[in-house]
Amino acid sequence: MKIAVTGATGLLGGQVVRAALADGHEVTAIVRSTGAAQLAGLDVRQVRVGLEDVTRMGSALRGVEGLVHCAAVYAFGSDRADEVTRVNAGGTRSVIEAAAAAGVGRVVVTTSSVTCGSSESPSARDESAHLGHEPSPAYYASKVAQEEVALTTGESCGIPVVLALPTVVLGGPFGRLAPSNAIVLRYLLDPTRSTYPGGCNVVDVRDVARGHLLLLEHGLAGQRYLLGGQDLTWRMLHTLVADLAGLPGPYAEVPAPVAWVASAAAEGWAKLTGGSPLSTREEALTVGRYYWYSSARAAAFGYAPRPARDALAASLAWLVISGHVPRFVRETLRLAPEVRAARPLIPSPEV
Amino acid sequence: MTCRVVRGSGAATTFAQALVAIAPALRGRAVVLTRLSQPTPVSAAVIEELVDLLFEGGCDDVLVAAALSTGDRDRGHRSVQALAHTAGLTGRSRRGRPYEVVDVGASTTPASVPDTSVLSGRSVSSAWADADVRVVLARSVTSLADAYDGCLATLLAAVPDVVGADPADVATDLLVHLPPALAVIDATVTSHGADGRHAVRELTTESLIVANDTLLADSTLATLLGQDRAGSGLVERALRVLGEPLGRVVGDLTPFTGVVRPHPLLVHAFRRAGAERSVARVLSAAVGGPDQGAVAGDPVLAGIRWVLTPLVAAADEPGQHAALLGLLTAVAGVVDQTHGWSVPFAKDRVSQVEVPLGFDPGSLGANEYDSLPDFFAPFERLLEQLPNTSGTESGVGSEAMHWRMLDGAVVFETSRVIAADFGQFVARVDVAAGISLMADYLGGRRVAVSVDGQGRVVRQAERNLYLPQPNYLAIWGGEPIDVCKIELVERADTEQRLLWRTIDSLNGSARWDDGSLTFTDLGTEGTRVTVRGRQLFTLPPAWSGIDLDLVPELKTPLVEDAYRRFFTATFDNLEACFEGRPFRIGRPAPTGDEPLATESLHQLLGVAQSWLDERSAERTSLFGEPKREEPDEVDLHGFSHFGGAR
Repeated sequence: MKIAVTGATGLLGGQVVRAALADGHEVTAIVRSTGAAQLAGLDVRQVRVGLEDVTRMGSALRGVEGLVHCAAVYAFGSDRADEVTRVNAGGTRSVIEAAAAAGVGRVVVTTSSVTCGSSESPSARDESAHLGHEPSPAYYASKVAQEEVALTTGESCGIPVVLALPTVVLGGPFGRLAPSNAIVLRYLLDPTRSTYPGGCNVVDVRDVARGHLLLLEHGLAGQRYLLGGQDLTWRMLHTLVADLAGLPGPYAEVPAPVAWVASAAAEGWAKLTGGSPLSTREEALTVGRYYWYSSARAAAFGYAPRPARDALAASLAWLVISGHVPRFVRETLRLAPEVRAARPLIPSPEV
Repeated sequence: MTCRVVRGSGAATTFAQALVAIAPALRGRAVVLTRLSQPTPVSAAVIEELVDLLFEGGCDDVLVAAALSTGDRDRGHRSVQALAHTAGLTGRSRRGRPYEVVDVGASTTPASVPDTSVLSGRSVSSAWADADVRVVLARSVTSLADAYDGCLATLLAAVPDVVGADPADVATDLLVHLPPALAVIDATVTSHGADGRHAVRELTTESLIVANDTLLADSTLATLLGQDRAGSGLVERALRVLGEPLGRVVGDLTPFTGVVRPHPLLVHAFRRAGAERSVARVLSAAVGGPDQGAVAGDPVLAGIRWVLTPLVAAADEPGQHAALLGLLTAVAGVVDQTHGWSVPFAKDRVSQVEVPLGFDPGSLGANEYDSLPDFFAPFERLLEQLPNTSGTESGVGSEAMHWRMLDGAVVFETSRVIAADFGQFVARVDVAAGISLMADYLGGRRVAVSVDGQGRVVRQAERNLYLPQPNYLAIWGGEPIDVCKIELVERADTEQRLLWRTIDSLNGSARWDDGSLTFTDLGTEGTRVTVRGRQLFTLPPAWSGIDLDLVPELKTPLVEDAYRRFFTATFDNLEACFEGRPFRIGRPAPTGDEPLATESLHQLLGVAQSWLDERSAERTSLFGEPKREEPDEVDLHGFSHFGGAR
């Protein structure tokens, strides 16, 4: 099959490209800039085009049978709220219109499990659930809007659209640190080794990529499919990270207000230093809730994610070489052998 | 080798006699490398007298060469020609011979030196390298940075700044590989005091030192100034490497009367502060001046000068001495602590270093290298008996550690299984370069002693510098570990090994640092990297009163933690090297090209001032008179016109 992938230099898009190539598909990578390290050495056609450029997008998609639309802005914080909404919803409309015009057979759009909302108690939600009135970042709202836009645009343009709803996607390689891997990083950098109430569902990016290809093949038009891994409380997640990284803890459970204050401080420091905050007040709003999900619907197509421990090991393996972990922190880690085994070493070109 | 001291009011006239007595071979082109730096250049009269004498002695051509150093630029000077003009050089000697003044750094050539030299791979002044007769002409000055400056300080101008190298190493290697044939020190008028180099305080001393051994000339100057010659770091290093100058000194060596010397406490504090080059530059630029012919510095520098110069000028008075010492000690404390915290917490901010090998690898026979396996065998047998104290022995990514104390040293073995094909691994990670791939490597030098039929190194000599171990010792003044080693490389189909033995530690930081690095083929499992060693490092003075051997409950975890951290980073480095990712710590040492720190600070203050002005204006418009918007006048061509200041 001829497959195009938007956001192909991102964490998920890059893995969708790899999975598609591994399955023998012919892949076109739609990227903002060519020559990204994530695609180095892969046998893909790279096309540089902006999401909202319908004409050029249409040209790029001509002859493509299936499109996986991964491109999105995955960020929290009021500073980027407008960008998140514009790209995630507006960009999706343009891409689907271009795909329809180009005669693409079907589209899988990557949204997010957060559109299914969250729970106050530790119970898993499925695709029938929706984001309610709980406090939520602008990113969540943008993903809800994206789903609506994707389905209505698909319907009006007459192109089958399937929605993929990944949970917290971990792993690599990545060029930019996304909030998902930042969850793991935060624990490495936290000298207090704290945890929070509530929980989330984590999944390895390779499994999510495989899930997208399954949906491209089997997904029903207009349907939402959760692509998750394992449900964990934050304490369970941090315990796993501690175990894999050879760190102590976790100890105290930090309530939401304290997390909010800490995030405000992180944002203030980032503003002062010109960096990106490792957590935001928007994210802190989610502390205490359970973002637990069932992927039973996708499992019917053969979707079988690996355990959370493996996903976290992969996340750690990529993080420790990413430059986001300072040397003095890296030296304190006693990584479990499975962490080192989680990332294959790639030999440099021989001199 | 001879040195002559010419003293008295007729010194200039007996200069010729001294030169004849020294009898250098004078022919072809002579290059006189001299000090023209303001405010204490060599006397134009002495320079031009020397020019005449060189011509009269048989030279066809004489160039007067000087450099525009970073220090000169920081003090507002912009060219060698301008410095020459300010110093009173005319281009024609007193006896009418024309000579040219050249910027010694204007043209450079690759240094023709052995691999052991810190100048290896560097450039040197073409004029200096190609001269038929090299002459260095210095001035007698005291110095806060180095107690006194003589010929070695002047000789440094023969090479462009060797970034990351200790000037003492550069000067010593210049003496060895591009030595002057004649060294002259102008002590007709000595600039003395705490920093006579920068804060002019002249004392008529009516002397000249003429020698064919530069080190002997500087030693003689130290004697005349009443100083210990080793007070100069340049002289001390040269003496250590080259040994005692063999020549004799002829003339009156009675120390000059009335010379005020920089107090050792002040020199020590200045050196500590100057360990951070940006600070050293500011301190040097802020003493004395503004110089004649210099461009005015920034207001921040002027402010520091206003404080510092009077203290330096009167540093022989107890009150001023105490104030200056307090100031320099405070700056030194900040520099020390900043560096101390950078070592464990901001390794990328630590400066990388360049060093010479530090010993002659040819002085050791092949058997010294070839006996390394036998030397290390008893330790290997010991290690085989030790239990694993950390991690697991097998499986991809596994790490293990065995260790024990032996004769006060740590004998250890640590390993990691790397998921890389052995053939691919050894093709990308050169076992011979193994030490430079280890954690906390600041720099060093590796010299091949012999190679095999395929051109691969078999025996080699190496000097390496690491951050203090454990890193936190830097906060208590721990020195970098600086060790000179001889090494043997063994390569077989399924195993490669580098063995090393420490033969010297130039800063006394290590008593033992011997070991081996082994890459072993594990087939489909990958490659096992094993490091074995025996190490005993010196603790900083602040820790010398603590005997951790008496508290094994404390020492054991500290040792294990230090080794685990170091080798975690080392194994990570090897993986990064295999994958072609950057891994070295530190950054190249700062060059002299960056703006003076005070200029940057001045710009920063300007930005802050603008910001405050804007806020103030906003507040005025909010609470004061409403700002009146004057309508712009637009002309026929579309240009807006607005009222000017008048």
